[in-house]
Amino acid sequence: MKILSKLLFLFILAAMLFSASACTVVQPWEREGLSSPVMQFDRDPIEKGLQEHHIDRREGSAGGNGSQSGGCGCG
Amino acid sequence: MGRLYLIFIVLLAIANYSANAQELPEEELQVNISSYFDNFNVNVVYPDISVKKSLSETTGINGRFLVDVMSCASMRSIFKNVYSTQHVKTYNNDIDAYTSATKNLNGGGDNDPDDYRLEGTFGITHILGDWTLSLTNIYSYEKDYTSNTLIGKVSMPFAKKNTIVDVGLIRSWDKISPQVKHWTADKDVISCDVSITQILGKNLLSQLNLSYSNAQGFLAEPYQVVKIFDFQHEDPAYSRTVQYYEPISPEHRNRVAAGLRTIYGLSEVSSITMGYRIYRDDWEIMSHTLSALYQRSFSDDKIIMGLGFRYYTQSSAYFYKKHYDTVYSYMTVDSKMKEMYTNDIHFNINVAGDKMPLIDNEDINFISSIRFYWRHTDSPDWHSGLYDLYAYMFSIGFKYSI
Repeated sequence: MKILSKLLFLFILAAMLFSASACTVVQPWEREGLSSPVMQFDRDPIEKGLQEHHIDRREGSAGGNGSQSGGCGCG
Repeated sequence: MGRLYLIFIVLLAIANYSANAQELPEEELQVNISSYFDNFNVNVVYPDISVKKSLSETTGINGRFLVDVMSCASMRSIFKNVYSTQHVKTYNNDIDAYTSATKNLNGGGDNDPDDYRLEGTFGITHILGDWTLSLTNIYSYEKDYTSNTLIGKVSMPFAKKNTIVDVGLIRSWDKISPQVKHWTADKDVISCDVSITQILGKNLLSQLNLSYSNAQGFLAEPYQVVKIFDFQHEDPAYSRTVQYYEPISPEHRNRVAAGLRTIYGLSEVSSITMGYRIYRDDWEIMSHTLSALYQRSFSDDKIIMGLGFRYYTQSSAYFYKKHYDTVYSYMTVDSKMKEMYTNDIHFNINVAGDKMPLIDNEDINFISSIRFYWRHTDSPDWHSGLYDLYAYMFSIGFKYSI
C-alpha cells in the first residue's frame, strides 16, 4: 500500500504540474516546430518495443517508459 | 445519486474540452531484420513483418509476425541431481540455461539454430468521436513457453490537443513447461499504464508515464540452479559440499514505475530528449534510469539521425544472496535480481527512398539502428562466472507506404 500511496502522490504532483503548464495553450497554427519528426518521442515504436523487450529480460524493472511488449520466456 | 451526477458533470466537461476528431495511423508495410549477440554466447536473429491498413475512415487493423531464431551455442549445463522444495526431484540435462533452448547434444560452439519463438499480433483501432480505442492480441509460442496478451487502450485529447491522455490495460496469461521437467506452471500478469503527453511550448513537449503491474504464479527462472554450499559442516573435508536446488521466488509481485521525458527543439532540425524513470516493487528492487537522445534531420527531413545514451542502476531483491548455505524459503541466482548498473549507447538513421541511389521512391523509408549494451552486476553470473555482460544489437529494415 505504501508503494501505491507514493504512486498516487507522484501522479497528483505531476497532474498539478501538467495542469499548470496547460494554462498556456499552444494553438494548432503554432505547432509547426512540434510536427517535425525530430520532435516525436518514439519514431519507430516497433523497434523500441523490441529493444525494451531485450532490456526487460536483463534488468529487474519494467514499465514507465510508454511502450509495451509481449511476454515470453526467451533470452 | 449525487455521485452519479458528479460523474456526469465530469464526463460532460471532458467532452467539452476534447479536441477535434482523431486520425488513424498511416497505412504501411514494415519489414525488419534484427539481431542480438552477447559475450554469454547468446545469439538471436529475429525477422519481423508488420502491416497497418484502414478499413474505413474510422476503423483500421494492424498485424505483425515475428520469428526469434536462437543459437545457444554456449555451454553444457549438466546438473544431474537438482532438488526441489516445490516439485518432485528433477533432472536438467544439457539445457542451455540462458536461452532455455533445447538439449545441446553437440556441446555448443556451433552456429546452428537451437530454438525458435513465434509471435503473432493482431490489433484493431477505432475512432469514436475524439477518442481513439484500440484492442490488440499478442500470442507468443515456444516449445516450453506460451504467452497470450490482450491490450486495451484508449487515447483522449484535451485542450485543443495540447494534452493527450492514454490509458492502457494489459492482461497476459503465460504457461511454462520446462524441457525435461515433469511439471507445468502458470503466470498471470495484469498491468495498467497511464501516459499524459503535454505540449509545454512551441518547441517543448513532455510526457509522463505511470505503470502498475501485478504478477501471480511461477515467477522464477526454471532453468537456473541454486548451489547450496555447506559452510557449516563440522568436518572441513566436507565443507563447501554442493547441492543443487531449483530456484524459488515469491508467487506474486507488484511493480510500479513513473517516467518523465521531455523533448526540447534546439532548432528547426534538431532536438534533445531527456528522460528519468523511477521504479519500485515489493521484492524491494528500486531502480533509477536516466536517458538522453539527440536527433537531427537533414535534407528536408529525408534523413534523420539519432544518438542516444541510457544509464540504469538498481538495488537487489530482498531474497537474493550471493551465497546460499542452507535452503531458504526463496532462493535465486537470477542476474535480474542483483544489484547492478547498465550503460546503453545507440545510434539510428532513417533515410527516405528518394535519397537512396537506384531506388528513388519516396514511398519507401529505410531504417537502421545499432546498439551497445553493457551490464555490470555486483556478483558473478551463477554459471559463466562473469560480472559483465556485453551485448550488441543491430536492426535494418524498411517502411513502405501502401
